[in-house]
Amino acid sequence: MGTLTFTAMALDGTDDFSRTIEAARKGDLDAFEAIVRRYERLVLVTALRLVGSLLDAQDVSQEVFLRLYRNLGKVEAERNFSGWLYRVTVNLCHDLRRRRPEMVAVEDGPELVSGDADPQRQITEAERRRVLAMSLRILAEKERAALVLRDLEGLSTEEVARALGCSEATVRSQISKARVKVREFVERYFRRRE
Amino acid sequence: MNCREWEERIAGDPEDPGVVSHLADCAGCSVFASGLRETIEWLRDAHREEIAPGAYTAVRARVRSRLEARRRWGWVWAAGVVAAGLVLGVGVRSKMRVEELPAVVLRVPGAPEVKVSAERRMPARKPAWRAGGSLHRKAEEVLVKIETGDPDVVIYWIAETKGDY
Repeated sequence: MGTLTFTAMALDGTDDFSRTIEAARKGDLDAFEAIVRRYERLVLVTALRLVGSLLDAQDVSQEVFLRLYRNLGKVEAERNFSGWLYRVTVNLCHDLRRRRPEMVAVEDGPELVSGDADPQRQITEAERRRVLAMSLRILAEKERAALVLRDLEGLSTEEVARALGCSEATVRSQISKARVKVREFVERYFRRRE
Repeated sequence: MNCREWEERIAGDPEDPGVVSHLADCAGCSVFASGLRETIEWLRDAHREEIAPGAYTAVRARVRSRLEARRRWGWVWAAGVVAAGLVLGVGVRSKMRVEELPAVVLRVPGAPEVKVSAERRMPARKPAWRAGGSLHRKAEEVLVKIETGDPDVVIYWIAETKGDY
């Protein structure tokens, strides 16, 4: 689970990446696009889990990268692209939810690709995605963010606390509550289906 | 602490020594812990599933077009600012130049020499009511001739001296 984060953070420090950032700071849009490509999954998928709709997640991603472009110098100085991106993504998702409390119902949209040709497996995967989306929706905003970053994105408690701007103790408490709720929801869901 | 209370502790940190010790003694909590582990793994797998590449492409295209538009507008703004600066600069500079201009010395070609001569053109006619003579000086007409430096230009005019009446 830590692979994603580790990979992203390891890439943060390479010379090549520094050169790309430098070029992007000078206005090279191709260089900036290379940075976007590197982090687009991190931003889009995190946003998707937090807001529950791909269209909203794309809006959030767009804004995150525009902010990144404006703050490249500052973010580079922090030497932690992933941390900055998680923080801004979470904040923008919160802003979006505050502006539009009634979120669009989560649908198993065509945006999700199944790599498997087996129809039975595709159905299982589709159901899993639906359960994931539904179980995230029952959580409070902060619990959801904590669970997504800690359990789905694999950040450490410390990193989650930094991204959410709260203490580690608070994160532990939120994650604990969120896990219990999700566990109960999933159990109920499958019990009802049997 | 009952099992319900243990659940949150288990969910918070399953590796905690106190939790591990409780799990060894409590079958119900062990079931909950393994179920929780499975659920998280299951959700994690769902989370790992790929999103269609088109979703990323769309975001990239939107970001790029916004940045390009901003750059275009940036140029327009920059050009506007430069133009405004130029206009302002020229205005200020011209104002400063007016203030700093040295006194203008006009070199006017010398005026033509004028020789003024006046001669009595005709004796003033005595009005009948003055014919008897008076102590007052009478108005007289005077022909003024101005000769300029140019022999072809001579100016004449008739003037009248003021009388005392």
